[in-house]
Amino acid sequence: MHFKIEKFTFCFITFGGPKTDKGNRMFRSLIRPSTCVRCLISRIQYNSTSKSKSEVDPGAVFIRKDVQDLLTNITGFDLSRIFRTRTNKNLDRIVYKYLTDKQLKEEQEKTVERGRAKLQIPPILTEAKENVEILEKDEMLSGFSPSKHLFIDISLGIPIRDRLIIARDVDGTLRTATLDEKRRMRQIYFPISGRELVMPKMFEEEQLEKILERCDYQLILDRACVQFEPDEPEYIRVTHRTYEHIDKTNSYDVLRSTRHFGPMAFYYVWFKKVDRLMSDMLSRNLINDAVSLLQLYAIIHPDSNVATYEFHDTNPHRLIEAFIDDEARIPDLLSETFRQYIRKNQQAVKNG
Amino acid sequence: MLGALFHYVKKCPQVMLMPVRTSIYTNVTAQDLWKTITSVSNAGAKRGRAKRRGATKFKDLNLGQRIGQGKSNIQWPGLNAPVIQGREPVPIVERPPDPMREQRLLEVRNRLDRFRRLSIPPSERGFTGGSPAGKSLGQPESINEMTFENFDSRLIEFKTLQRTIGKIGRKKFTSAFVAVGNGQGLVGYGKALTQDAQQSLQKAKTVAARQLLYIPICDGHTIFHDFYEAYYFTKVRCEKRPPGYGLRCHRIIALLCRLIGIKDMYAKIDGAINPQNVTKAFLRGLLKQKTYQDWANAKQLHLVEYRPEDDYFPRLLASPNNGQPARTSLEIDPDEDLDFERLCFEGRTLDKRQSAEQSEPWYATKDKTRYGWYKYLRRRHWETVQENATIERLARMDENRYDSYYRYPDEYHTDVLKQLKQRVPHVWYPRV
Repeated sequence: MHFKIEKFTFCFITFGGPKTDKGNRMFRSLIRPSTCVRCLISRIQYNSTSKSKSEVDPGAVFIRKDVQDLLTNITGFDLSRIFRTRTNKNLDRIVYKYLTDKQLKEEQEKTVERGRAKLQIPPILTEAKENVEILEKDEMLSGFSPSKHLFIDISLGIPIRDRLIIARDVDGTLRTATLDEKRRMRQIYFPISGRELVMPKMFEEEQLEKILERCDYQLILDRACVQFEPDEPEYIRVTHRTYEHIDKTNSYDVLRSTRHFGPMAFYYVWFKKVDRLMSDMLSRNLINDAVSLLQLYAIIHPDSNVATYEFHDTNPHRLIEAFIDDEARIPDLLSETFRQYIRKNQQAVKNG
Repeated sequence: MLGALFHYVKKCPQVMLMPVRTSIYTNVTAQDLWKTITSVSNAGAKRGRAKRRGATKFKDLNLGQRIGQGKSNIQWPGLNAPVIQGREPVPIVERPPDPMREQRLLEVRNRLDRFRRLSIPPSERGFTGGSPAGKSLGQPESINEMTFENFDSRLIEFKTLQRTIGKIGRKKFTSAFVAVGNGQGLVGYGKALTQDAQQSLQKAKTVAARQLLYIPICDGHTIFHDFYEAYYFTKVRCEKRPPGYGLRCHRIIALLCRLIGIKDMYAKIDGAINPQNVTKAFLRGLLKQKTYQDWANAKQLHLVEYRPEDDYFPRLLASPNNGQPARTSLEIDPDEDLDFERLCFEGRTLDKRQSAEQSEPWYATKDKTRYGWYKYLRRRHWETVQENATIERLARMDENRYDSYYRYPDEYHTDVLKQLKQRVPHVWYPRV
């Protein structure tokens, strides 16, 4: 094994065998936003060490196939919105091509694939907990250097998150690295372009408010996906704050046909704040999306009344009415929008 | 007669007779005096000697002076003082002489000499401050019932010519070439040749306003496709550019684009740069643009556009609509040219010769880099190479100064960049 060190000194380290398994197994799910969902499903790995029943792991629920299908359904697939102009910084030449019928079809299929890839939902995980394992205590080495040393394994073929990162403190203890040290080492040796070592000031609370004021949600969420791993507390704080703001301003449509709609819907369902989103869907005549939301609710909260509904046979109107009666937190708003939706429906039926 | 007077004066001492000496200052008018210096012969005038070179200007020496005031500062009631002040008449008083009078007069007279260049505000300037080319000539005058609201006219070329006419000799003419446009697709150009400069401008403007062309613009900001057009020896190559690019063209073409309403384009002129030929070539090329439907029909294939700002999403512009279906790949000859860019230029390609080697950086050639300018370059090297990282670092350090950076972190405004790059003197910025 080759070791690369922060300071320019070399030393070989021997410690008791490979990392211990069973209880203290620290598998980190290789969940970067670019990993495909099918790989996730085949590698269900939990992030939390404390498996108490009161703390349910959202990651486990999120990874389920039915949940993923529901979220993709809600997100929608509008190609013009997926590929729309964000900020026109690319001043390259426009390309014109002559295509035959067959080539045109191929191109269209390719763009659908590209669109699907763009709509990959960034995963939802519980906050990562620090697991500093002390591997060796050697007081004879104390004071050997004025600063601590960090080591990372740079051999080929190992996924970045599975790499071994170890620290030798000034007092001689050899331990596994803290979360912050790991993040920094990974970014130094296996950098991701766009990711900063120091958290950008944009994500601090004050500055985040300024950007939220001008409703630039996609900027925040896209940059958060690049900057943070999904299990970092900062990522969770930033995304939750953004979803709260969107809820207050009722601007859900901004994120439709983007990859962030799924996690946003999951957040609302998880914390039972579905009402405004549902009323927004009803006002846009997306009754199927509203029913999908209810199905999601049933999966995430199996103890609630919604889990008892039968989603296959019943009329979607009845399902929504039942939800308004049972679990809605703002029943007035929902019932009003539902009534308007029914009225619109009836008028449409009359007109033909 | 004078002798008799002289003897008479000698006998009676009370009478004093001063013989008045006449001089040119008293006999001749100022105009005649100046004429002796400034006059030019007829032949000389024809050769242009009257105006600029070697000509002295008529200076009015009365400027800066008032009647009643001279070298001796005397107060003349009725002339430079009131006759009655209160109840008493004002006497003739001699005051001490004014020492500043001479200086003041000199200043006034010197000011007449200096050739003052009128300073033109930037919005009214043409291509350069001095020459009239590129200047706006205002709205064209309305013809009958047609008013030219929203139209602007610009002077493209202004020449003074001379023609030798029989019997008269040489005669001066001024030629003006003016373009008129309204920023929404209508343009016209006109030429006039008259003896008076102002008249030629106006005449050219009316000629241009009478001959308007309509030019279709793509998406309100650019041309439909690249084109090449030549007129005599002037060759113009225009290329389509995405929104936000700007007009990177010769100043005449940029002027015309602003009159038409094109905002993003690249143009290159090869060959002779003759203003009139440039406009004619450019406008001819614009009028000759084909619609996307024509392009699709010409090749009997679908025309698809990939825009970089839309992440290269394939957008179908036109399909062949002349009854026959699009050709299949078997029907297309493998040697057939389907490169749209090359087809726009009708088979012409750029001669991309190898440019001169790029200049080497300072640390490649310079030996002693620890002193003077090179010491400064060493200190600033990391910042020049890592511009974005430097800006981030500076922004992190000083919050108050870079408040606007935090509000719009993805838009690096040029003024914010400038502000960030300014260094406050004598402040040590620790490396964070």
